[in-house]
Amino acid sequence: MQHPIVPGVPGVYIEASFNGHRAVPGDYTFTLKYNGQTTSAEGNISPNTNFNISAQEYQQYDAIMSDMEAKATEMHTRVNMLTKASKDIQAAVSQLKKEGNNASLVADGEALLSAIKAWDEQMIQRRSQAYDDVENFENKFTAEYLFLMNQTNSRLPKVTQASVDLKAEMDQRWIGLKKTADDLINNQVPAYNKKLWDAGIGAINMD
Amino acid sequence: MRKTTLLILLFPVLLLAQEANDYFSSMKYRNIGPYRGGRSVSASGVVGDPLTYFMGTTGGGLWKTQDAGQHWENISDGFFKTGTVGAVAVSESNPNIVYVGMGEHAIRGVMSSYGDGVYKSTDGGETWEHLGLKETEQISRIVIHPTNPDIVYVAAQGKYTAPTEGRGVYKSVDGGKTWKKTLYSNPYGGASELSMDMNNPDVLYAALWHHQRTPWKVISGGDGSGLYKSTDAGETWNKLETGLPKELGKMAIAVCRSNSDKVYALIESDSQTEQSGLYVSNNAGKSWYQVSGDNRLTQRAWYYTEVFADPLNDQTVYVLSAPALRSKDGGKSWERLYGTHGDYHDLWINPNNSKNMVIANDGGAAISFNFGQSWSTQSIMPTAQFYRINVDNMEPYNIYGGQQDNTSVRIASANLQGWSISESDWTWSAGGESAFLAFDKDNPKVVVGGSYLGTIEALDMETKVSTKIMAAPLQYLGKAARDMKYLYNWNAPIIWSQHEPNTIYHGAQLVLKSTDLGKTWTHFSPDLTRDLDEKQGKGGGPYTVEAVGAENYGTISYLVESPHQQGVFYSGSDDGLVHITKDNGKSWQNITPKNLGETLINAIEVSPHDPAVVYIATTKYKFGDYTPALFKSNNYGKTWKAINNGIPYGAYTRVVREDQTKKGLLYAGTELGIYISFDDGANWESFQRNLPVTPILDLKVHRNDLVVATSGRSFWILDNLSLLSAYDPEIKELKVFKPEALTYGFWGSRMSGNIDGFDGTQGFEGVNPANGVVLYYHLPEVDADKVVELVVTNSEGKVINTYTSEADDSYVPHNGGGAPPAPRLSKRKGLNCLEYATPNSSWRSWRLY
Repeated sequence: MQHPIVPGVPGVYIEASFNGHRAVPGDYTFTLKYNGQTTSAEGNISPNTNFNISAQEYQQYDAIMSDMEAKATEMHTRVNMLTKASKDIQAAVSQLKKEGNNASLVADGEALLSAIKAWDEQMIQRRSQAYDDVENFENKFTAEYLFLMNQTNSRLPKVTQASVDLKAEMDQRWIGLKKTADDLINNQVPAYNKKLWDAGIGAINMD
Repeated sequence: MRKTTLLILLFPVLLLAQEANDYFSSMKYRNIGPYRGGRSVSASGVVGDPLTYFMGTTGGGLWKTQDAGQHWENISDGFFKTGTVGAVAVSESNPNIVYVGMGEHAIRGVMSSYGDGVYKSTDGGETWEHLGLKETEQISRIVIHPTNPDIVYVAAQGKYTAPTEGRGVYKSVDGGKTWKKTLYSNPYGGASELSMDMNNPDVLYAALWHHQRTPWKVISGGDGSGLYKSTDAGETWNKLETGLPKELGKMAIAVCRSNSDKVYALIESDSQTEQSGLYVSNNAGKSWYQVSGDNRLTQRAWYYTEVFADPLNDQTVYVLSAPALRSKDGGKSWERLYGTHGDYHDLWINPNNSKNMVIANDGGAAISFNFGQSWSTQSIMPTAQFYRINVDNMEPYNIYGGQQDNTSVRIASANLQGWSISESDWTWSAGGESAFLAFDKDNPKVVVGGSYLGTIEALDMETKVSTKIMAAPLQYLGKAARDMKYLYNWNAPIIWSQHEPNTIYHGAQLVLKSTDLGKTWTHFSPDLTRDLDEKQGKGGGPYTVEAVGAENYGTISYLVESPHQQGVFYSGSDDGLVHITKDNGKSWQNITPKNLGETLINAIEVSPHDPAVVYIATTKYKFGDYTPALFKSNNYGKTWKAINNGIPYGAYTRVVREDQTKKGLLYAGTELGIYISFDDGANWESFQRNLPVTPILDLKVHRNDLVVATSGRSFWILDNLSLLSAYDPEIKELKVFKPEALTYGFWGSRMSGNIDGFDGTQGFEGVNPANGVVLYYHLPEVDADKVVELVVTNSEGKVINTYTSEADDSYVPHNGGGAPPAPRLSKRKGLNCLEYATPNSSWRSWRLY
């Protein structure tokens, strides 16, 4: 039984596992809902006596993995949202160019696209296509984050200090990258969208 | 009006018969191996296609390879109603036409199965049609006309336990739609061989064999034996006699394709007069002379007696026996073939290239391209025949059993470090092929195991060295049963006490007990059999003695110690007596069900829930009676009740077990598969699921698993029995079944994830149990518009994961390097299952170059 799968980036090859970590030993409740009815059953995962892992170690592992999976999910969700937005902005800019007026809207659009691209290029390597192809194109932030996540996800789950330290460092970097993304998502794209609406041109979709 | 009444009466019965097997469609048996081939008595190549071969197994159905034996695949599952193949033949003029005759012709008393006639395929084995001849039971050969595949002959050996009319040579001229019996001698005279002159297909030679197997004797030879020739396409037959012995037993005959005048006949005659041997005729059967009296050719004649001529060279001839023998000088001198398993039963030689052949032996089929210098492997076939099983309490637990004509095996029920159960998860163990295996379940370092004729050893499983511990080390081979001090069953029971340390028991006609691992033995009981002197002579006749112990009669066939109480034991005998002792062997009471008659008591099960409740599985199959015969007692065997309703005739009963969690939930192992009863035996229904049609020799319920020993398909396990114990056919509401506890671990398995299309067997290795919580739920009805949702929370109420039945339209598949799709909840009316895919299965944790 696993925690949720981290979403991928469509069309992008990242050499990593996206699977959530395995549920640690403990009691679980399975609640089934269908047609307005709800029913549940209790289940248990018992610790493997040959593993010599303490309850505390399982907890530490569960906590750090859950946090990394949540953060990786945040990352790819933002990447995918902005990719979608870029496509709409690109379409709008092309349309505007074809029409030949609204030069400032075109310039704003192109500036916004470059800002998104600049952020995206820090997050994702979009050029590698296959297992050995990843050697041709340097990995970017989320690939490195997933690598850390996978390296922390040991079958004998003892969390190393190196994982803790690197996670702290990368989470710090993520704060900055996330701020940029959130500014794009919450401010810059909606502002440009508003301008487009004002000019009577369709909307940008980020769902 | 009458019809309506019938329908009303029959309908509920039919409904019940289908119910559990269908309801539990998401439960699957898994084949754990081992991949070490079992017996085959029929094999064929295909003229013009040297890569394709067929292997008929005993109990495991028909298999085909299209890469010259690198892979074998079963092609009869789902089509054949019985599992044991006696003959397979491929048309030379149309290789898509294949005829199969069911029922092995090398008839072992201990584990030979009856067949159900003839099957035919017109598409190279993809699909099959049944063509009748059910009454023949054992078929030794099928011969197809070289240019007209509608003309086909069946050598029917017939039921081996009793005289019948359903034997002799049958002919069809319409591709098997109708049959005509054209050669018959008497109710004992079965056709053991048929050979066609491929240069003139109107000429046929047949061997009839006067035979019967009683539980105590193989009768091989008599008035019904004879060699015959037909020159009118099998319409009429003439007996061949000139130069042949008067006393005839089992025979084989082969006409040379390269020389129609030269015919070889292998003849069992009186062993004491040296008339047995290879005979040859140089005038198409008119007269004969003995060319070799070498006893290697005719030893243990009933089991072997096979002769084949090289199709391109009439001086090269093969005789199959315990060794495979070849003569290059017309039968005068012999060399042995090596490099594959022993105990040979069939040989097909490519008529265009006689260096190319396929041979059938007790290890399966093997292909050679170099005149028998080397052979394809048999270690890739999950077709082992196992007798009895035992299990230990290790993690994972191990299964122990003896494999026919091989070592015994200890095999892990799971490989907790890998993906599948391979040879690194199994090893040989104590005793031999027919072993019962006994050990301290919590510390199985020493395993005590036996083999036929009472041999027994205590094997250290770490050093793999053993001490031989027979109570009386007497050589019994060749002796009459009545002259044996201890008379042992072929599968003589050996048990390890659950209550007294280091104490073992060995069943002969009485129970032997040792408290020092065989250093010394005492009698723990008197003779617990009927001890019928007239049935304790020599095991074979009239011409060849059989005395390896399969015909020992008046032996203890089962012994069990009550898990509840020290000193309580039950014994069952092969001649139909059941005994109990409640005072640790001081006194034994005969508790045989009334009017049981001579019957094999094959298994005894003390209820895990009630010390007074006991079940027995009995069978008279050795007398030719295939009636299921299970009994239950509520009072230590004082009174018995037959409990067989729902098990059909033909599915004779070898074992019954009770679920460890749910009282009255019973499992029965029969000749035709597994049956289940949810009401303590009042009603049974088939619970075959994905299990192939194969005889069930033993069952064990252990840790909520059903462990299955088959005779032809190795071992299988059905996981999650707790689901069966929660079965309620009346269930109306939405329900999640409590999942079985899972131990935190990282093994992989084909059973994780969707198994809808999985038949339970994979590649060359056994299947692991699913890893992950296997969650079953019941949906009372299904509405296409409504979504099933599952939320998993931990003990603090935190959501761990959620699942839905709704398709994820946003998921973009990618050629690796992306997220896998999330598992979906299935939404079927009735039982559903969520299996979790194994994490990291598609991703390597380090790079490999």
